Amino acid sequence: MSVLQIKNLHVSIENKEILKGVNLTISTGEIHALMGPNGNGKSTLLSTIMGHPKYEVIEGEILFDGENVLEMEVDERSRVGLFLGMQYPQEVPGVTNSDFMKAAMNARRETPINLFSFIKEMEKAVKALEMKPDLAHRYVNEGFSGGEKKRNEIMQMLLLKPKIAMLDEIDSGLDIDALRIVANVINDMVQNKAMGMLVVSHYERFFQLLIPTHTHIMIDGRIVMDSDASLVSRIDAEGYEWIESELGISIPDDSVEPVKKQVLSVGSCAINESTKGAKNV
Amino acid sequence: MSNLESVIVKSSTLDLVSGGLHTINIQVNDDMEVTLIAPKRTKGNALINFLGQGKLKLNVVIEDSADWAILEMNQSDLSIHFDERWSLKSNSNVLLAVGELTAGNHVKVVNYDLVEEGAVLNVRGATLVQSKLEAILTANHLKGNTYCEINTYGIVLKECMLKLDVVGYIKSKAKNSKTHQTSRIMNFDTKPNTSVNPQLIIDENDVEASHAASVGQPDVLQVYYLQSRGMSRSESLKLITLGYLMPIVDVIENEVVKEALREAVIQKVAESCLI
Repeated sequence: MSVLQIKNLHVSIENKEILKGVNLTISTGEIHALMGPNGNGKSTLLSTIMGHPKYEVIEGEILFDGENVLEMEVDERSRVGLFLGMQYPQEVPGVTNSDFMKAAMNARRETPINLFSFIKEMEKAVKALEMKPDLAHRYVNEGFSGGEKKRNEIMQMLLLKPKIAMLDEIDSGLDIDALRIVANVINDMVQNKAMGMLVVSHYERFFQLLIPTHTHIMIDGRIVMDSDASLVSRIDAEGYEWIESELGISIPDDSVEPVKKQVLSVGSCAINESTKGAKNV
Repeated sequence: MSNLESVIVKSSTLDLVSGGLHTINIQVNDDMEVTLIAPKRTKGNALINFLGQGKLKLNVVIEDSADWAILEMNQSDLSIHFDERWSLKSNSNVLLAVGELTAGNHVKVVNYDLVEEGAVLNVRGATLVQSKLEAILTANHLKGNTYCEINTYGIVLKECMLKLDVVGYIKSKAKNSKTHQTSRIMNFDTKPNTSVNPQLIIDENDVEASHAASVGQPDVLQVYYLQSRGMSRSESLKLITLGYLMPIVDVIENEVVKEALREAVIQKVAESCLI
């Protein structure tokens, strides 16, 4: 059994503290639902566990089977068994899904996977998620619909077989049929392959299919309430206001915005006005 | 369908053979001039490999209604000064991929002349600069209803230099012509050793023209995404690099040759020291 422990985690971005002392323990075989109003630190927690370069851990520990995750590079975290299904998966132009997945699978193997085994595994995953058969030959997430991107994240999870997987609003963009397909795959992995889950979602519909063993509410960078699956239904019916009055806390008005995709390329663009009488466009 | 291989070691003229794949190896030495002609209404694939060192004047004539997919691969780790002039005649159509993946120092002055109505040229360049490359690519629209699109994707390694000028020139009397260009350069060095200069010169009305150019460091979020799937930073950068370069291979239809080229590109990237 694997265990992910988060102890008194404080995280900031651009000198603004977002997580203010998070404590959480997830073991294989468990499904943890993480809910809370937008901008209260749910995605920050998941991204920090995975090692997103924009977040700075200012205090606390993250341990995976007793090992210090914070000392690991992002790829090491993946190879020890952590996985993050992202809310906004990146596009990687020119790299086919099959080359990408082969490289990812080989990164955690002593010897490269043989082509026959790889194709067989990929086809099985594509079939389980009812994806289009041309997926392997398409460039990673380029031209994918929102739903295709999310299924592609789950396909990666299926092939990489993590011990603890985190899903960040993976249900957004999925229609009701796709949601059921994805939930079936997740449930199968948790039950048969001893995987633990930390799932961020705003919708009861997804958690009705997953049935969390634990539910946590995050407000203002702290987990303020823990319960079982029944808490999801109450949130769905009543929102978060009752938590404010029950616990005597308030949801901050200046909820932090989610991290926006930053444009990192430095563009240069010029038109040389040359030649006599030429009309420049 | 038949495959043919030609080796050129001195100044000469050669007809491209229609059907199948025509492989042409040009061994550059000193100062030589080579003319390749795609005769009227021919159709096929050609792979042109450049080896050796020196000055090469290359003329490529695409005759009326010829339809060709051509891959140029510079295989020289030495130094070649290219002076290329393409002439596309009436209703000809060329899909041209250009691979510059060598450790040599090269200079390229290339003129793509669309000399008659209806000529269409699509250029896809993939460049892995491991030393120094200076290139001036000019699309000259000399007649109306001509089309040219030049897309250049490049990686510049540390301590290396790229200077790239791409010019779209629509001359007078070339009505309804279209010229487009995109240059995307990823610089693995923090020094400003890369310059991309897009130019559009328009001497006629009723035309379409566009340009886009960017030079930047590898996208940290892309690298993070790949690393989050278990690949090291170095492996991630290599995969992103392959993504930049690999699409040129798709120009060739022959699956065996395509696979060999894929392997060659992978080998070149593996050999290069990316970080």
